[in-house]
Amino acid sequence: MPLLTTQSAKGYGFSSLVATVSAIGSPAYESIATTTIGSGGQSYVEFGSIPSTYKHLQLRATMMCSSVNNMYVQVGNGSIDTGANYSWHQLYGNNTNFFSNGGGGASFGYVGYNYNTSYPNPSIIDFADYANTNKNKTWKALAGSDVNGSPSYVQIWSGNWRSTSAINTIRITPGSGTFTQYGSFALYGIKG
Amino acid sequence: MAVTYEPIQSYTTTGSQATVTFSSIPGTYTDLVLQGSTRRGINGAGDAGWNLIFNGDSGANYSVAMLYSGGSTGGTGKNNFFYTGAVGDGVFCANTMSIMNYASPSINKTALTHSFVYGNGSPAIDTRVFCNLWRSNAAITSITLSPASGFWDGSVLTLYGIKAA
Repeated sequence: MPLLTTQSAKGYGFSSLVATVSAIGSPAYESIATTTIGSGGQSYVEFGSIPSTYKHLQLRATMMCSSVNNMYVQVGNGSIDTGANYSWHQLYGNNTNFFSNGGGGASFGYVGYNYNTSYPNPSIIDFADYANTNKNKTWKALAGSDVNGSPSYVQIWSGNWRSTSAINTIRITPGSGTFTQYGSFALYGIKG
Repeated sequence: MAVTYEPIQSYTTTGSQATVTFSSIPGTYTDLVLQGSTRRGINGAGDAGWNLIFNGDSGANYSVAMLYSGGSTGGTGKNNFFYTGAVGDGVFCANTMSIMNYASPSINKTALTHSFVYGNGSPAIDTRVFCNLWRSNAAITSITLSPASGFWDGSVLTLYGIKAA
């Protein structure tokens, strides 16, 4: 079952690295919600009721997994879209080679490949202009899975949701198994 | 009010500086972001990375997966430092490194980095992404960067903290 912690932490501070324009003293990068996986594990993580008041979203995660698998992303407005409305591309390197791949007409996008079960799998996903109802939605991700040996991966992803609806729900799902204890997911809003 | 994204420490190197250390890093954030504009202490071929360690740990507890352009393929490695970041020859290279859940006592530490490299080797110019692993559950309280040939005068490194709700 989804676990969502919806909290707002509004504060005043710097917006140094975030390419936004904001009035001096107003917060540009805000924490929207955070979830940490407990001892019972979770089959997926979902952020719902995402406010439309930001310009972009960033999801920062450290994923702990029960089985070696890929990581799916789905989004929606009101509910998760499970239709064939996603496309994706990836570029990744392992021990000795690099690979590129892509797909369209899919029922999900990818934001992780071959995540391991022994070490944390970090991921940073940026959803650009997520609430704009005049365009389809896109995101990019930087992710990795280092297993202190072979094969270890670093990955670049892009994704597209062919809908002009504002995104107010995001779900991350492991292709198999579950998220395990100590994994964490944090959603941030970036103002423009 | 709570601040979500704020600077912790910043350094601008003077002269040719061998090492930069961020110390006494508070454990109150969720992630750290190390933003750099860095150049080598001297020009020449050889390693162009930051050679970064945590908490003074110089043991063989680090590993990396990397992907880089410039005609090269991906690669991995095991080191006694994070092979990440970039220092250039004659130019200041852009770097952004995210250190995830750095204060958690329950998991090993990972980082994701995107860097532009300008070197004197082969390839001379490339872009690189890294995924690094430090096999320690210790909270990170210090970060030391010691690139081969040090940092050139005017290299800037700024450490930010990101705090989740």
